[in-house]
Amino acid sequence: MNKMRKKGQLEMSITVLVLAMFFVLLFIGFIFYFRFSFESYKESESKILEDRYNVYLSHVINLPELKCSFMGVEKECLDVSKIKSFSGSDSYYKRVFENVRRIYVKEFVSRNEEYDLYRYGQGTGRVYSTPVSLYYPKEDRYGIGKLSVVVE
Amino acid sequence: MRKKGQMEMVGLAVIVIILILAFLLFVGLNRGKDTSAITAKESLYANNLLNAIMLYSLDEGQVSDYVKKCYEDTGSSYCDVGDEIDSLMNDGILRENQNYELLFEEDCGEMDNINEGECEEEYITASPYYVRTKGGVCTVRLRLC
Repeated sequence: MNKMRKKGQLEMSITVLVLAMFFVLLFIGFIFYFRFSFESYKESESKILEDRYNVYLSHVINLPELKCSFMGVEKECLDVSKIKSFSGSDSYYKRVFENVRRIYVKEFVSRNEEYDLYRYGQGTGRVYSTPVSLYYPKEDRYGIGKLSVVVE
Repeated sequence: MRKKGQMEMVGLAVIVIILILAFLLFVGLNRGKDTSAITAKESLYANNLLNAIMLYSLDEGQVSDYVKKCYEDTGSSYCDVGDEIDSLMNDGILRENQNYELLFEEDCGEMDNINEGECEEEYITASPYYVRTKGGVCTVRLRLC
């Protein structure tokens, strides 16, 4: 009788040990799974944001208020005279650019001037840039600049 | 009896470990890096850069005008815009440690290709820029790496 009880206790402790090990491994598995999921969500988030800010850059390049046009025919460049007279303070642009903090164009080669197109708040944050062709109508000359969008 | 129990325990543990490893492998394989966002962003960058280079004004016209003139006047100074483009590219437009190749293909006369470093395996290509020359169409390609 005593021997039987001991055997039962042993089998029970084995079962408890197996279950404990199973749950420990399961827990480790869950930790890995959630870590991978979290990284994957982070990647998706940055992908969505990159897409979104690329859209903003393309949108600015194609704004008729800034784009070059010759006798009604548009060209892939920004007109510096339009840039200088552009004012992004209109509430319309706040709706369009949502959480964009600043949009500016920086000239390259010789001038190095910077033109603010839009600014909301401090104007600091993460920067997305693309090169753009700049047209100087007074000199009938093309330069190169960098269009940047600053986001929260 | 005890040995049998121990063996069962080890067997179960092995099965559980195999299942967890299979699960982790599955999760890992399904996570294959998605580079589409990077590619889209880089393509936009490369396309805009090529467009800006071809429109850029040098002493006697835009770069695209130089291509046309080079075709008409083979071997002239119009065919070598390497120094101008190179200084332009290194003026802060290219990112740090970024190399480029500007290739003139087909009906471009003797227009010299321009490059800094060589883009062999992985590079980003801009959509080709076409310049109409007297002999046909010159295709200009930009590769960033």
